[in-house]
Amino acid sequence: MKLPSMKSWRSIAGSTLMLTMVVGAANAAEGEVTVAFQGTSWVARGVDTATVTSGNGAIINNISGDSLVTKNANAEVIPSMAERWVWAPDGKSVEFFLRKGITFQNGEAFTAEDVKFSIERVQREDFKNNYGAFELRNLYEGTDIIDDHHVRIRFKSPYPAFTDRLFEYFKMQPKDYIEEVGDEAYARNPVGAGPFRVVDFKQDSWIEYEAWEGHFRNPPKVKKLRLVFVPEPATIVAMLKTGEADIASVDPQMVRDIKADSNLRLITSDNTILAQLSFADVAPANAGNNSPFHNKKVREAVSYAIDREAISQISLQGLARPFKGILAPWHAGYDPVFSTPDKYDPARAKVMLSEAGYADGFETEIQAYGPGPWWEIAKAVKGYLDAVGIRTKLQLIDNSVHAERCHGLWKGTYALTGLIVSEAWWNARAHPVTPIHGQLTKQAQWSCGVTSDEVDAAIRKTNDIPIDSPELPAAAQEMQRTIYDAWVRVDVVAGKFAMAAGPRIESYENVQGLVFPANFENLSLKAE
Amino acid sequence: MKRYILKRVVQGIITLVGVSIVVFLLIHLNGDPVALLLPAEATPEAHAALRKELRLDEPLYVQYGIFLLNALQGDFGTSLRWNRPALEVFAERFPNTVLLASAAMAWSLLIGVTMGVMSAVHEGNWIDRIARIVATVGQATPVFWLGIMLILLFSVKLGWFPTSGIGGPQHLVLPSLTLGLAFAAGTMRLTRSTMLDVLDRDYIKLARIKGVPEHQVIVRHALLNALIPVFTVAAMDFVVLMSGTVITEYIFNWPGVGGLVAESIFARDYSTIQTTLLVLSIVIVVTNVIVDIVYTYIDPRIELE
Repeated sequence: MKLPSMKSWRSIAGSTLMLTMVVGAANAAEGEVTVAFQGTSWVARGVDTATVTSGNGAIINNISGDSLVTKNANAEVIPSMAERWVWAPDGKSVEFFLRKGITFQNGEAFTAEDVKFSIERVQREDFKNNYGAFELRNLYEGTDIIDDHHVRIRFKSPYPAFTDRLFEYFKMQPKDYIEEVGDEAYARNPVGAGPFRVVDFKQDSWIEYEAWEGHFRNPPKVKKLRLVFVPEPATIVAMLKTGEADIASVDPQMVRDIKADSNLRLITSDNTILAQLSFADVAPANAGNNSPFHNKKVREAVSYAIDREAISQISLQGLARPFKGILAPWHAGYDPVFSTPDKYDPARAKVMLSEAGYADGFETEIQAYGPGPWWEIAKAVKGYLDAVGIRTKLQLIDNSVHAERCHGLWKGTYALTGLIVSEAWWNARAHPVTPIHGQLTKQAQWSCGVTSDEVDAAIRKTNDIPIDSPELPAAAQEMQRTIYDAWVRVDVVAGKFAMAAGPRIESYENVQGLVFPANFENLSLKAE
Repeated sequence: MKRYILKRVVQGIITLVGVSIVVFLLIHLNGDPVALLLPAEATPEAHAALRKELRLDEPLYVQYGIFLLNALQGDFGTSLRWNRPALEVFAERFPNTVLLASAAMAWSLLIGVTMGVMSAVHEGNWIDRIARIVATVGQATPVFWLGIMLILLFSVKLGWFPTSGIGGPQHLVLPSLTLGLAFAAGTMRLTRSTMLDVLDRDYIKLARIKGVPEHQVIVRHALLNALIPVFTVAAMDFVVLMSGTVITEYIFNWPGVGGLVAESIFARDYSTIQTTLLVLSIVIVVTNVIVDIVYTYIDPRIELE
């Protein structure tokens, strides 16, 4: 008779432990909640969290998935499936000490092998749409399994943003189960380590979850959670009013309707949506074109042409404010004087255009990926630029197209020029480079790598300084100055991510500084 | 008859070949297809290998032949956005669209034919005038506005139906009514005019002289004859409904082909766009041929020319 392997023994022990926890926690979770989100599904294959296609996919990742770390409501990275971690002094590797005795939702024990498997699976080339893996592919070197509960992950260069990305995109997946059933079956019957397990789903329409009361860290307070994807913002508001949705993401244009209904309340998380204008022509691939944006004065004129206050109040219904700055108030090196946005001055913008030799203006393109507030911001920006003579052709595109166009720009197969309205963010409590590593370095995912050699070098230099180093504040300030002196981007507004809750919701607190909602396990319902 | 059918089938095939050429050329309109399929960090060798594998190094007419052969075998390539076979993505959504289009057509016929008959029978009086005003307003009302108004009334105010999504029959009511009302206006006008034409015929007058009860004259003698062109147009409307429900699907979050096309266009997912266009074209052409043939059976007066 073949004896069970060590991993099988661990699974049996884990299952026993899980059963004990389930019995202990019986009846802890109650009620059903429907969460509605604007847009369509963000997962390419079933509910396989390794195949998310946009930043919004992080929502799905955090419902049924868990990772080595997580974030609390103050956005501090805290231990989860790893008890602790230690960065190497050079920032090029990090060792994780895994929590013992925990399992995946199917009872399979969680070990170092699963970590290596998960980190490498998410980078698979045939999962090319995976949103977060793009950055990892460029930086990953390898994973060493030191023992069953101890791994070392190595990078080609320092990667302080890695723990943030673990929380956002790199969820732990059960190696044995996936290898046994294959990709397709796994996408249909996924098993994660998160607080909710997938019960059923209809691709691109909805996903039904049930509380996994055996979750070691934070068993959910509601028994069932249904995630529904709804493209039309007005329909979302109607769903909240009828009670078909208990909590939902809210388009800025719908905020007035929410405020007018006494049964609904707005839940916002601050500084989560930073809208910026990137100049595609600054990208090295566009060095040879004859765009007016090669002239720094023209780029500066763009900044004065935009009325940030009006965009905040009208396009985003007061859920935003004008902003400037790579560094947020909680980052090392933050300087409030530096962070004053340029004032709206269209006359000055016209003079600058004239001085640059474009008194009659010129034609260009402006593209924004979405759907979401970026499209609203792009429409407003277009109006302001048209008014000073920068006649723009507006292109509203899907997130995935944006990524493809970036790839095309780098490879010279797509002539991406003009302006890009893109998303930036201020990750709270993180290394100051974390928010812009994926933004302003060469071949960065989120703004097409629109950068210059000096900006790229400044970011990489700051990136290499550990977060607890006394040199970091000065280096971060220098990096920020270099970025703004180069005029590679113009900041527009810092917005809040808005959700609305219906009368059944007792409490829900999103993680501050996140562009997407998370921690639904903390959501609770009022007593009937 | 056989010659007529053959002629219509050949015409249908020629149309489909034309559509397939346009659909094939679609992917070449936005530059190099290999650049779309490979990740940014792919090496030139990987580009060359994929180009060879997909036979994109062959002349365009050879590529078209391969495309056609694969399409005939149901292979339309992999969806860029969903990372699965495009036909599989399409097949998931298509039944939902057929369901929505069928229910909308039922509403359109029920409301349009009823109003059209009443309007014709009461020609010139207040019923006729109201019906015509309703039809004019119905044709002029934008679908997105009507959909949201129906949600506000029947879901938010009255709580009778869910606002959106797919599930039981109750989920079908509002989206199908939105679409159905938009098409009912046209159905009403057509029914009215054909009924007026039929009611003026000698055989109707004869039936009345012979003392046939009025409701029998209207339903059995007039309506059945008046409905022939109505059903012909309804069949064409049905095809339009299957390919043109984007806005309704969007508002009601109905996971159908219309939404798929919109998402695929935003995502520049050429495989899915190609699949949807080609399969819908086949459905339209086949429906046209069937309607033409069935029409000759329904109305033997039609000459097969």
